[in-house]
Amino acid sequence: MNAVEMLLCGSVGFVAGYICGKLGRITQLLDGASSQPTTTSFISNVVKESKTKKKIEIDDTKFVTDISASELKSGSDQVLGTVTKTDDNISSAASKLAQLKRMKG
Amino acid sequence: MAKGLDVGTSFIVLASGDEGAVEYKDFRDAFYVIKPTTPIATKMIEKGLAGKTFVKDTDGSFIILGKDAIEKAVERNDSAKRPMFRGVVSSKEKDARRVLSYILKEVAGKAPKKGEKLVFCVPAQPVDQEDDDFDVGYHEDVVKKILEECGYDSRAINEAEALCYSELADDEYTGVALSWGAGMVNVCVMLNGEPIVKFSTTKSGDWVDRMAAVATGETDSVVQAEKENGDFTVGKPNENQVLSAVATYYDRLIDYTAKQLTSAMHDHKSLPKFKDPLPVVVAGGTTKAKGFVAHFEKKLKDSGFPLPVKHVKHAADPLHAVARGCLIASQIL
Repeated sequence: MNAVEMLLCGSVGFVAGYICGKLGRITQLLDGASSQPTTTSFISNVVKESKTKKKIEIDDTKFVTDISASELKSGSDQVLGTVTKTDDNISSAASKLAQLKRMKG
Repeated sequence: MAKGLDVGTSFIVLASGDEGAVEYKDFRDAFYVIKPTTPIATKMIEKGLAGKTFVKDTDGSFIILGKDAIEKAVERNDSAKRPMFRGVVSSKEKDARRVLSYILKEVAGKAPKKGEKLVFCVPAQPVDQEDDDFDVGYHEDVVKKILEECGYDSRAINEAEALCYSELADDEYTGVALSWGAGMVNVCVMLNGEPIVKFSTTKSGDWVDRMAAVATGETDSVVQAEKENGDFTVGKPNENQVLSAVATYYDRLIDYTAKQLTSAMHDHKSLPKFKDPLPVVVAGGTTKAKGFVAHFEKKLKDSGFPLPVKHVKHAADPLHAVARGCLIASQIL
């Protein structure tokens, strides 16, 4: 195949493709299809839907059932816990913290 | 009179008082179950438990509580159980909630008047574990329900935030606090009384015990007992094999936590610009090891901690600091 023949084949192929494309478009219009590209319309619909639909969530946090410890009977007269007493005034620390919290609003 | 309660994996500490004196009541958060098989065994066991703290269950078993549980477990070459695991109510132990309920009710006692305020601490979400078992919200609800039954109007705050309230009064409530409990390390960065960053890591004292137990072939309770009564320095070799393993894993734990803290600070987008170097305060049973504070200060420096540090200091009373912070919070919340 020489260069002229190759050019001719290419041109014929292009023209055939162009005509097929045009015919397809005309058929689409005759069928009443939208002139807008379908992809654009799909995306905008999704965005519109997500704007109008409120997300519905379920509360799946674990439910605290009854915790009964009444059947546990103390076997000794021991009191739970070791008690220690310290000389410590926490009121100044508490008032300083309260003041900072108030300032923060 | 309001109260503060530290609900820890290893200890439960109640703080009460206000003007001039604070009273602490601590109880070891552990239990050990013995189920006798015959009536004679029941009598023998009950006799052997004289002077110990225990309760009897409906199925005839004995639940030994507190430090007595650990002693009994060590005696039987076994490990004591915990109602809590890594800072929250344990989902691994079927008796966990009942035992925790019993201990909390006994330690906190009935509220002198209905609706008395009580602030307790909860851990922060861990940065190194994605686990469905770790449910802070559920843990908080469980503790709240138990305290409600005692007549308290309870409220939860973060554990490290409580530590900040206890130890940073002289620094205008600005600094970093790390509460090294048994189950986890809780961290809070505070600016003028407001928590800026809160997170936790799931490796602490129990991790040291577990790893040392695996390395030496001992039980966790044996390692824990050796660790608490033995003489060792963090990161230094020791003639005792158990203590040598403990000292090594302590070094690794401190290194890991310093790196986690540094990484969290680097990754934080809205960290304020602190005008002065920050005090860093550490507390909790794990920090009581010899050489701990100096070792942590060095590791923090080596890890490239991005904030200027004024000093690393040990809380005045490392075992009670969190409960004290909860008590301070109860006065203002």
